[in-house]
Amino acid sequence: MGTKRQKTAHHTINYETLTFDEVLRNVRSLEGPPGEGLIHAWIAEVPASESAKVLSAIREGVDDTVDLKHLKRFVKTANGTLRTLVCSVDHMKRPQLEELLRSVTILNITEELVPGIYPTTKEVSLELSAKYWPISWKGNPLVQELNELKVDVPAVKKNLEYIAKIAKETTGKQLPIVTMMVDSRDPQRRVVSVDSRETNQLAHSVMRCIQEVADHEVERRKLGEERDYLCFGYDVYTTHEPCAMCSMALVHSRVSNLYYVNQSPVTGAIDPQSGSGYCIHRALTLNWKFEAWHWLEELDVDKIAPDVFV
Amino acid sequence: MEQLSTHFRFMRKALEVGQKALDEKEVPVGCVFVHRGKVIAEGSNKTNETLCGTRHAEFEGISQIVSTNPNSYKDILKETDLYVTVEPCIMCASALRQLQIKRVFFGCGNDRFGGNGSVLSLQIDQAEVESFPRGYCCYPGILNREAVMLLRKFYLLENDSAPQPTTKKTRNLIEDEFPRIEYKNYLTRNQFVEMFGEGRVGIYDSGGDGFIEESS
Repeated sequence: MGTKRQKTAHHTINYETLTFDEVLRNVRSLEGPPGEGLIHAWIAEVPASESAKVLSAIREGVDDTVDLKHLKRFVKTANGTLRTLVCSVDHMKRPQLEELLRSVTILNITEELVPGIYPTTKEVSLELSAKYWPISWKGNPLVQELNELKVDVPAVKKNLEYIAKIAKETTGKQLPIVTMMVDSRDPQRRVVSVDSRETNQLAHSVMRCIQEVADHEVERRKLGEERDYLCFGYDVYTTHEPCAMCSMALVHSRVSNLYYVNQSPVTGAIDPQSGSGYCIHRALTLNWKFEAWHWLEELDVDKIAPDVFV
Repeated sequence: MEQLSTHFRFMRKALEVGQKALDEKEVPVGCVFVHRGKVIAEGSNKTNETLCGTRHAEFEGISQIVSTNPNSYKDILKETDLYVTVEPCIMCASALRQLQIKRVFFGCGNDRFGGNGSVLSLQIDQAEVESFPRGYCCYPGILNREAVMLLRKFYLLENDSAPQPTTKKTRNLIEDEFPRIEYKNYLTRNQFVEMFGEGRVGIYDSGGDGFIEESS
């Protein structure tokens, strides 16, 4: 793959490093589920003339919760017969299967391993297809997903430069950690907060920003203005990768995008390489996801001690 | 020697606080913070009232402790136990780790957001990192049926503040089925035995097929 401008993409994307226009890295885990994700499936061999019949029997009688749509239905054998993928073994037992196919001439029924998960690269797809059962490769889902993302890079840069400047102005015991939240639907609506853990250990800049957006919303409702839900529609700009507490607070608050300058390799909870690799913004069982972006271009933000929870 | 009944007593108090949240149409989670045998703060979920998604019961309690002890709250919290009706979420579990809370007791697990073993295990992760705050031990299953009942009562009501509220008219309160707790997800066998006694270890070994009763 490497760097190339895809016609449909909004940016020049390097699909290996996930960098956009060489200045922003989309932060996510690239690990698929562990192993090859093989599952047991029923394969029925039929004469080629029976293809329509077997297909209609499957369409009528199979309602499999295991998704096999990424697999080819038929494989032609050397002697011209068709090996047919029916359904997962978990979906039905052999007697049910025979009942389902009673109107079809069946030459043989076997239980076989097939790839249960659509792979992320063509190479893996070819390998699994050769080894187990053919996959219909329709392109890399990651490429498609990244192509759809659109970022106003100059605006992001401006916002990050702004918080970096405020971070430079912190004095005394205050840590130079700053967060700004901007309503993407009305960029004039924004709040900025500086870390203030010297008064409360949990008063991280992200937590303070979320509270401030809520305080504004309480005021807006008193004035009878249109209602917002938590921080829905907001983008978050912050000097340092947030800790698990702040990352989860952003999930609870339904934000759209997170942009940060410095990575927090020990205490961060966004980058798969940071800390325990939580990747909280995309953790599968949670009910909300947001995009996270690491700013790569030189920007003057002070390093903080690695054991500080941001 | 610490009595198990002590933990039940404090959890009952947390349930009372949670009940208040239900009365205020908040997700009914309640907690108390106990320092040297005394309740020093209580908290219930306030996310609807404040329109702020971070105002969980634990944060309400911690804020009280910080404001009444601005210079000593850090030392106090290190010697404080938390009793909360539902497993702390990932956000709260991380906050409690950063504050080096002593122990956490909870009623039921939190399948979607739990940060003490259901989804992630913030209380023990990165223990090998020297600079990391000390971990804490958590003890699930204290009055878990009561905690679940409280939540079920809430979910029978409709959450008007969420966009596109869904009607739940067809739902009924289930009173005789409760999720079992998979204790292995939250603490080690030794930790379980130390807290609940050898006599209850079957509850741990059988994958939570049973409930911890106050006296047995």
